[in-house]
This record gives sequence, structure tokens and C-alpha cells, in this order.
Amino acid sequence: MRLSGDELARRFKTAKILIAEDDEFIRVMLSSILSANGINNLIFATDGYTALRKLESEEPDLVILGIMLKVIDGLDLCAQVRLNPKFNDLPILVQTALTNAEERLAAFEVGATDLVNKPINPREFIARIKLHLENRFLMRDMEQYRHGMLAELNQARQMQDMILPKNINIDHLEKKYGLKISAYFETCDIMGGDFWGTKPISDSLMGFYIIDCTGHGISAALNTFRIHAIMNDIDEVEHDLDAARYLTRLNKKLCELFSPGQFATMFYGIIDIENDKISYSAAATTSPAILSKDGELKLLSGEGYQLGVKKKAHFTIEEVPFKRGDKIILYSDALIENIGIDGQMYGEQRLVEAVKSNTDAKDGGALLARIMHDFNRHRKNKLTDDLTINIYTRL
Amino acid sequence: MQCKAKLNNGVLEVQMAGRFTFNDNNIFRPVLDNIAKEGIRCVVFDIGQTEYMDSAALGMLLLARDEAERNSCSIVLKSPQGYIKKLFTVSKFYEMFNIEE
Repeated sequence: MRLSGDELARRFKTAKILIAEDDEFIRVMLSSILSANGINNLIFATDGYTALRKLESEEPDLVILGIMLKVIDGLDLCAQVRLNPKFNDLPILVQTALTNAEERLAAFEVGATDLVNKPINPREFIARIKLHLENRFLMRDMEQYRHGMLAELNQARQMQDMILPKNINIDHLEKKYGLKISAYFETCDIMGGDFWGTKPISDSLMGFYIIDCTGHGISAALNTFRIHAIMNDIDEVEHDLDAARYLTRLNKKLCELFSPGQFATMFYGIIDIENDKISYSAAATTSPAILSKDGELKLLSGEGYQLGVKKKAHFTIEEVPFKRGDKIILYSDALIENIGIDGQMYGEQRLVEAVKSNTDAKDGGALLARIMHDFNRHRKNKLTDDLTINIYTRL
Repeated sequence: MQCKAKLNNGVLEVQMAGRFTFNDNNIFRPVLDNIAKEGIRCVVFDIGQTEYMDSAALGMLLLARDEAERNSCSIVLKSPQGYIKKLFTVSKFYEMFNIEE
């Protein structure tokens, strides 16, 4: 990466340079070379102490240091400046005699960026100054870009948090339908491709879903927004009481929106508290687990076309009993596919065992905590995919 | 993922071993480009040695399928094993791809 000539000339004009030098003749000579090359914003210090103060107050873009400064000499000054992380990237050019090898080495040891040879060769001197200034500009641009990007990403992340259920709504649904809803959500990048949610349909029916968009990071996150918006549109017209028809509609829209190779997996269920059952439809998800009140575990099939792949895909509807005391556990594939300390995937089998050996957990939240405990014992530090787990318990 | 390709009589056979994930994007891209080439009428993905695919990998296979359809080229997924077989079942790949055991 380089800056254009015009841009550089413009920036050289505003670049602030501190010349710390006790010899007046050298000060005048250096400033006349710089001025002749369009670098006019110069400040001076004649001793080390003043130089240090001006560094703090003026924050120059580059420093040219003489070695024989009074109060604090040039090398000590350089070492002191480098102790402050704020000045890590500040170019410091130290003037040394070409013939003094020891002095040259010492300058680098205390953190000089480069050396200016005495006697001064104006063309070489200006070439070095320009090179270090340009590097400085580029570093600063990059740092600013990074800051701006992070701020925007954080904002986007907050927006994404808003499409996840809020505690207050969860409390309301829990009371309304006699449920306990427990959730774990962790993204592997700053933004994720997973999301989950619930929606009241009628006094006895509540929809719930878990969705995983291809990949992770920003492109996946953008697709979560798309899906969320389409689901809102569908729900606005009428709540679909048929889970398969719901997926069919959603799939059709997503086929038009997603680019080739992108898709989402989804489990969509409707809890029916009047008839003690869940009707559901799946689009290529992990197998949800039903844990009955008496501790019996059953895995449901997550088989179905991925959303956004085949326009005429047909989805099927299934039913499973869901009585008081029963639980349904939904999870994204990161849970079972995450490679742990043994180099193996956590796996569906280990999940089944974790659930089976913790059927005494006092509620869904406790069961979730125990599953996570087992998962965390197996996992390495960083996830490679977004992880979502939801447990719905009928009270 | 280790990827080896050989062309024989208009059939491009691509052997894919190991874990096939988002990171293999760059390896897979030239394979996609080959599908559009004249003289290739069939691409066989030999996935007998593939241990794992993430969603991005499944996405790349779907991309290959689209690309093949456009170029009247056929695609075969050959010998899926273990976990991959299960993934293909769950995602209905058996109904979307020509899969040889």
C-alpha cells in the first residue's frame, strides 16, 4: 500500500516534526532542508527535558534527535519515550556519525527507528524522513480504519442481539404457556449466523425455532437479518398453524434472496398445550432431543431440505407428545461438531449421555448448565462455529 | 483438506481427503472453474476419505451442482462415509445429487 504523490505532499505540509538538537547550526540546516521539501510544521527543543515535554504536549509525527542533548541525552530520551506505549509507533531518527559503529548500534538498542548520518547528506536525509512519515501516515490510517470498523461491528452486533428474544418477553411467554425457557448463545466471530426465537400464536399454541445460516461472521449475520425480516412479514399476514407450510413459504422467499451456495437450516415447532404435543418441521437440522418427565430420551429427525436451496422443496410435518414435565432440547451443529481436546467431535452420542446422566437436574436451566459443563470439559478454548442451545420445559 | 484431481476422457475425478470446510474455499474454487470448461462432461467428487464437511462445504457442493446444471455437466458424489453419510441424509442430498456408494 502507498499513498499518491498529491496526497503525500498534502500530508507532508501538515506533518509535525520535532527537532531536538542543541547545535543551532544543525537546527537551522535541518529545518531549511525540510522546508525546501514542503515540510514546514517544525517545532524545536534544545535540550532533552524540553524535548520530552514537547513530545507530550505537541504529539509530533516524527522526531529527529541529536545525541549530545543537555539534561537528558538523546539515547536516554529515546529509551524513556519508548517506555510509553503511546509512542510505540512514533518514528525517532537519531543523528549519528557514520564512522562510530558503537554509537549507531546503541541508538537502535534504545529504540531508534532509523539513523541520520552526520555529516548530513540532504537528499538521503529527506528520503529517510519522507519514508518514515509515509509509514506513519499509513499506520495511522489503518488504525483509524480498524477503530471505525470495530465501532460499526459493535453496533451491528447490538442490532443482532435485538433479533434474539428479550428476557421480558420470555417471562411473559413462560407464564402464558406454563413453560420454562432456557437458552445458551455464543458466537465464534463478532457476529453470528445462529439465531433462535419464540412467537405466541394463540392461547394454547406457541411457535419456537432455531436457525443456523451457512458459514459464520458477517455474511451469515446478514442472512439472519433477512430471515428475521421475512418471518415477520409472514407472521404479519397470519400465523401459520402448519409448521411444514411455514417452512415451505420461508424457503421459497429465501431461494429468491440467497446467493448460490448459501442456505440456512431450521427447526420450527409449535407447542400445543391443549393437546399436549409438539408439531414440527425440520430443514436439515441437528436432531432435537425430547426428554420425558420420567427420564426417557428420544431423538427426533432433523431431516429436510436446507432453506434457500431448492425452490420447490417439500417439507413434512411430524408430531411428538409433549406433556407436563417434558423437555425439548434444540441445539446448533456447533455443539456436536466442535472438535475437543481429544481431537474428536463432541458428537451426538456424548450429548445423549450428558443428558441421560443428568435427568435429575432440577429444571431446564440446571440441565443446560450441566450440558455446558460437560461440553466445556471437552472443548478447546475457541469455538469454530456459533453455538446455540435451547431447552423448553413444560411445567 | 487434501485435494487431488485427474482428468480422464472428459471425466474430472476430484479426490478430497480430510476435513472439508470454509477454509478450503481456495482449493475448491479451481474445481468450480473447471466445471464450466468445455470437454468436461462429468465431475466425480471422491469423498471416501472426507471425514467432515461444515455448512460452507455443503454450500460449495451445491454451488458445483448449480454450475454443472448450467453447463450440462453431471456431478457424482462418490462413497460418502460415516458422518458425511448422515449429513447427506439430514440435508436430503440423496435427493439432490447423484450419490454412488
